[in-house]
Amino acid sequence: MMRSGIALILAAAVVLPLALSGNAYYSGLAAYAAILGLFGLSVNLTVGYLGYISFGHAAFYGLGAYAAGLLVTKRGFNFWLALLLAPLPAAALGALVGFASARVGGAYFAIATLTTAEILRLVAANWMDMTRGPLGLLVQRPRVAAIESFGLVFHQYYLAICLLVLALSLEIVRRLIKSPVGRSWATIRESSALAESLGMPAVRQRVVNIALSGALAGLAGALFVPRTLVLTPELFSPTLSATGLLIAILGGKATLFGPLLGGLTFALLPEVLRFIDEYRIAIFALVLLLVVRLQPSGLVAFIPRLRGDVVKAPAFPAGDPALQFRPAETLSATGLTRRFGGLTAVEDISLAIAPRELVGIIGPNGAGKTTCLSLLSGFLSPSEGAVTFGGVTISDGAPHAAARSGLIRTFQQTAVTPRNSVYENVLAATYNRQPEHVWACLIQNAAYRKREAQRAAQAMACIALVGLRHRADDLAGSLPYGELKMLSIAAALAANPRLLLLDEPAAGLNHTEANQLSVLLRKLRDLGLTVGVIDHNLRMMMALCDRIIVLDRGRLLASGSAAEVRANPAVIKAYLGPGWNKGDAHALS
Amino acid sequence: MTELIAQQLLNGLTQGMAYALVALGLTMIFGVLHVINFAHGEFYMLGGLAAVLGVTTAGLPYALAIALAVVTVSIVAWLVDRIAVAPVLDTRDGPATVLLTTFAVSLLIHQAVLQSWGPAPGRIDGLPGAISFGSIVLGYQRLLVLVAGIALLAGIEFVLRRMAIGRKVRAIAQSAYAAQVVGIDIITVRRVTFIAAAALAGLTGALLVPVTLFSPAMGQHVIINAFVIVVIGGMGSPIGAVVCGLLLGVLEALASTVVPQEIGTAIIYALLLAALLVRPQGLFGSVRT
Amino acid sequence: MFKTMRWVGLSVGLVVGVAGTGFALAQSKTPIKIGVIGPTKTLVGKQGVQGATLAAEMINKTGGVLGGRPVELIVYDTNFAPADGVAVVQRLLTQDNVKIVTGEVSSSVSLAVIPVVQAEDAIYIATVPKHPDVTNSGYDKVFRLNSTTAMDATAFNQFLTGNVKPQKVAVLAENSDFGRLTIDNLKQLFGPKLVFAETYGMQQNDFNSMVTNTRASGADLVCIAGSNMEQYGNILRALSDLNFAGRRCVMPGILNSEGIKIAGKSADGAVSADIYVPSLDGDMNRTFVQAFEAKYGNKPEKIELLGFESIWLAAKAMDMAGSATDVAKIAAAIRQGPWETPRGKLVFEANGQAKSGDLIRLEVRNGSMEPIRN
Repeated sequence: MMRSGIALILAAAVVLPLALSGNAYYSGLAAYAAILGLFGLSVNLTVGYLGYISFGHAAFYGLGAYAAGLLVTKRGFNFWLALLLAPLPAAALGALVGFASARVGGAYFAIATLTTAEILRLVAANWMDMTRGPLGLLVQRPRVAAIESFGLVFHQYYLAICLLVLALSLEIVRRLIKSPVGRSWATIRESSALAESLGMPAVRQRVVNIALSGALAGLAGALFVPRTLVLTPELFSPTLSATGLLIAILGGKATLFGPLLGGLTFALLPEVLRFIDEYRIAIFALVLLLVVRLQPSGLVAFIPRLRGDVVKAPAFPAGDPALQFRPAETLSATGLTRRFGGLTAVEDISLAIAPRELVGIIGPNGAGKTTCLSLLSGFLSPSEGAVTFGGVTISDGAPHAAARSGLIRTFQQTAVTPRNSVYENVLAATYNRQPEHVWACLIQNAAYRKREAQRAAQAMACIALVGLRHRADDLAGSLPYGELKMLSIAAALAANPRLLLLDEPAAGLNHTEANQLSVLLRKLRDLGLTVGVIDHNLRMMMALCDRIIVLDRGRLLASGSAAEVRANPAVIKAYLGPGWNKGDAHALS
Repeated sequence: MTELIAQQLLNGLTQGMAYALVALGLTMIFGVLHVINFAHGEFYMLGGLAAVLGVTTAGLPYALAIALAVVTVSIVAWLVDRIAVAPVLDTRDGPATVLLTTFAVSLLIHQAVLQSWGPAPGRIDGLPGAISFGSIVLGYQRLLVLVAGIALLAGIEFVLRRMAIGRKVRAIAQSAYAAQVVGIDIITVRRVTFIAAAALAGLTGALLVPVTLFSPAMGQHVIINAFVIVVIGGMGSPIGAVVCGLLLGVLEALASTVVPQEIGTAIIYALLLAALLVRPQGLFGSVRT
Repeated sequence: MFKTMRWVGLSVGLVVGVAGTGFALAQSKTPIKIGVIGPTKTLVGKQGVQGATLAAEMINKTGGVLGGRPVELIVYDTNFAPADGVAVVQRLLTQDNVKIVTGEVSSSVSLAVIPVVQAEDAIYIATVPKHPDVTNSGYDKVFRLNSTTAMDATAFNQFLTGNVKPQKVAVLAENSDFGRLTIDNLKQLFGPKLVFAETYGMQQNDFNSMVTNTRASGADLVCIAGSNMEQYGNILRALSDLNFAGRRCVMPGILNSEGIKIAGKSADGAVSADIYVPSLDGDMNRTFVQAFEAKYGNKPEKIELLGFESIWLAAKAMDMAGSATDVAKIAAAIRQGPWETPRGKLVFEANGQAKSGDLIRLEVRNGSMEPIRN
């Protein structure tokens, strides 16, 4: 469906200019609608797909317009060549703003875009030598004699080019959102910690998204130049930024064709109402209010077929899922200490997890188990000591690097993307199998398609393995708690782990579910995966684990088989001390 | 030189107070409803218009015209809340939808004023006269803006800290869910906040009109600055909005003695942007995930 | 869902229907349509449309054009946006089949519109825009009625240097083509005597900081170059409030009674100049002013005049050319001139720029603009 939508726009690029041959007004409006649609598409990329609200996308739009205009007027470039170059500064600005925002947070993006647009507006208004300020940069109509020799007039091929650019941009975005890169945006939007744990570099993918969004907005701005022909600082105005944001919301956030409908509305409706010029803005506002009240999910909801394809899970292969894990390495920690302010959460812990081991880490409340796991998986950097995996130091501050080397963790509070299906969640997690470059996702050659097929197969195998076959096409948000836990394990498995660290996977599970979990973990070990488990459920842990490590008040207390640990007087004392509870004692006895 | 600085400080404070009062309402609405009210500038404009009409057409004394402005804007805000905010707020993607509905409302208010009042500016005198110390001059109307501004800020602080409704507002700002759990009528508190913030904008408009004149575009002009202040101050942080508003006014006035005004504004924005790299949650925002 | 769509359609239709009834006017002979563009939702835009409407009415009352055909105006809002200007002019030329477009205030919009007019081979009569490039496009069917900044300067500079004779000059200009060109002009004229030059944005409404700095510069003449009357009115007020001692000058072509009303007493003593004042002698001006006052209740000023002239000129030129569609002939007729208008005799230069008599020097006394007699 999404493809046929794009094909339709391509067909329009051929038909419309011919159909509107004698009508510069309507073809001009169509071109303007295409430009606004492209601008909305760009805003939607960050607002819809990344979850970063932008209050200043006009910064990119205006920069694209000015870049094209300056290349033409100051450097004598052909406009159509300048059109190709104009998105570059906007992309660079996007990367810059994106880099700062991705590190400090989404709110910063809202501020940064808003103020950057305002700064650029002030610069454009006052840098007289360069932009002629409010006098405006005058650009000639970029007529192409070669095309006109075929009998076409300017407004015809201008419309054709606008529609072609729009179709091309839509195809780019379509390919990306269906690729590992685009799927990672959905995960990052939900939780960047989850994304990092699955090997997705959140900062980098955000920068890629925002740079691309900037480039598309810059392209829209450059395309706008032949329509306006006078470039004024108003191209950076907050009104324009608001228009972009409203187009994305009105059309339908995080949908491919929503911004197109929004752009169409914003371009056409006020013009269609010209015959009542006096009241047209008021009526436009009324219609807007009415539409939003009737259909809050955006215009795209009026046309369900345009809402985008639901990614259906492929058929399950017959028989047992075939999953293979990469040979593991030894994870070892030496002298780990982590302090938070004056509090020492973990102190001088040295431990090792050997390949194909199933190790449990237990300890009373406040023993530092989760801190320890965060240190082991690279989510926290130690104050002292080091963690190595297969001899390679787990670098701090970039958990995705740890995930990349095969060290995958899960979270105590289950993290999934609730608005995506089980299959989509797990498929997104296959990112780590082989991270794809943006270019590969755009070109989609045979090798890439083969890898995509492998990723799909892997996702299906993981879903089957955790017993969620019947749930593959259900929304993750609709799963009951126990299945949600299983889903997060499936996602972790899809991330191609060599060593899996599970943070309290049995918390909140009932007896049957806990048993199923035990079975699953043993099976994983048998399949060659190394597993480390943190949990409170001592009964399950004692029965399950090859070896148990006991932590108490941030220190390593004991390590050994279940029997050895159970007999250790220090362990008994720790469990009978503060933080002790009946269930624990029962399991120990 | 010191006289120049002192005069600019006074200029900056009055301008900054105007910024702060409009931004304060905007940030209150964000704090409680978690939405951005695009129509906030139009409330400010309506307050100004009501004051002008009160004095010129109805012949009211200025003080009563201010009261008229507050009442008028409150009624309009109640209507706007009923039509465009409350019913959409709790739908899926409510906050984003409110962006659209309040945008539509702002267009409607603006167009209605253009159709009835017309595009012409309007003027009332407020408190004429001025006090001067040497060459330093402070008009009584500006003094009123300063004094009333401080009184309003103190009043709002008192309400937020000491009164039941203020505590509810703060509770909802912290966590709407938790507030609901402990039995706070979240719908009513939201409505009261929205109307109170709008009334504040209307009041500010009525106070400022003798200084800046009335123009139907004044709402559109003020909203952008207010918005920048709200965002920089930390969205939803009243103190942040007030301090940043005053700071922006004073910095702009002081910078204008050294560099051209617009360049000064651009530099201030760039500096704030850099400062925010260190404090991303806004200068006064609390860390919230 | 279809139900809701029908709902939207119905309500739109309803509103449109109600609004549309006032527009249905039956005419006996085929009317000649002329397009009028401008920021109609602003005061200057509205004033221009008032002048144009009056011209059409007066022409239609006295027998219309080309043997009794009435003139019909189609008015579109451009909202200061070049892209809007392009859209409405395309609509006028291709949908409404207009041959002559008039109006506009913003130079940016005019400049964006000219290539469209050229592509459709039509006539454009710009009214208010002052940007020099408007008459430098090379297209021979563009005309401009207002004076340019350069034209004003040649006449006004003399007055400043000869009569006002300031020692130190400050200029406060809006950041627009007009403001920027004025600063350049005053820099050239006064050299080092220009001690303070500052621009302000279109959204600024508190000018105390700027005026404080002006005062500190020690200037004894401050020139204001901003067409927005709220803003220059406010600047004049700030100058009085902060006890600025020097003289005030509002650059030519922007002072009007609305602005003086805003400034109140603080406008007294300010000097300016313009191409038109309603108190001019001449039969045509008297008729114009009377008719305007009868219709709108206030005296017309420069903007209203320019709106009036644009339609008046278009109609008379069509009569002279004997055609409502032959744009080459009509353009040639306009160029031929001279034309009798309320401001006197109007002729066009080769590039389409209108020229009338001398600038009229003005001074504000007791809240009204009075010509200065030398």
